[in-house]
Amino acid sequence: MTYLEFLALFLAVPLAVLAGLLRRRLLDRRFLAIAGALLLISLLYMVPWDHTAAVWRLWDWSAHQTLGIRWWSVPPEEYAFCLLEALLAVTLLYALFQWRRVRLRASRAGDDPERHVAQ
Amino acid sequence: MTHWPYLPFLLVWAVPVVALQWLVGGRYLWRARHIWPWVVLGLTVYFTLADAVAISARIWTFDARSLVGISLGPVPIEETLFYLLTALMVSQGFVLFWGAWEDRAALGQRLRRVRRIRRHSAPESAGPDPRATESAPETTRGADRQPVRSSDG
Repeated sequence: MTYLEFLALFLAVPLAVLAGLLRRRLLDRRFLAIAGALLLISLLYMVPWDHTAAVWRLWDWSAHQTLGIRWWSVPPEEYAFCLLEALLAVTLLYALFQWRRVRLRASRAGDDPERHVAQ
Repeated sequence: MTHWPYLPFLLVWAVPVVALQWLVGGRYLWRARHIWPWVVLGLTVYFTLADAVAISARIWTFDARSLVGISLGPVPIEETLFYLLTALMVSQGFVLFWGAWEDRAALGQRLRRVRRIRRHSAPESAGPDPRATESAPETTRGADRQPVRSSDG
């Protein structure tokens, strides 16, 4: 199994299933803005850390099972993993927020947090 | 080159972010506590299983000297902790942004309402309470109704 096949099986497939369930709701402006910001932050925060670990040889990737390219000591598949992992987390959370109609803003009367999650 | 083992390297990288998220937006995280912990837990289990496949296929390998030596099958405990912490940072980040967006939208609507009231009340400022021109209960609830959801169920 190559790293790309791993990404397809464990990241792309569940994302495709979620996308199929959410369909047009994925076009929600708030979701797109927040997901875009979080993906960018994830990448910017994780890549230098990953690079340092690779330089220290805490871990390494098989040359035969990756594309053989390194962008700053890290194979491109690892960048994709970082983005897809974050995307899976935010899409899953968004789907649950949609299905359970979650509201996070406190109501003026009572400020009871329990009422913000439809049971 | 001397370097840190995996565990402290991971904790120093991730724990301050998690703490900062609670410091900045703990109220949002608390309100959504019925949802995001399950996503974090589910993703941690899922990615640990996926990691076992990747390690068994030798897509990536670890320097055994950098690990504490505890593992779940082929997966070092540090990897499980990595998935837990990354899922935590992303999920909490999503909740914070989501909550802040709701607050921002509600604040914008409140400001617009205040401006509207001022505009309406200006010519008759000597008259009765200008708020009487607005249906107060409606406007109070209206703030909560704003762009919270994009669609139904």
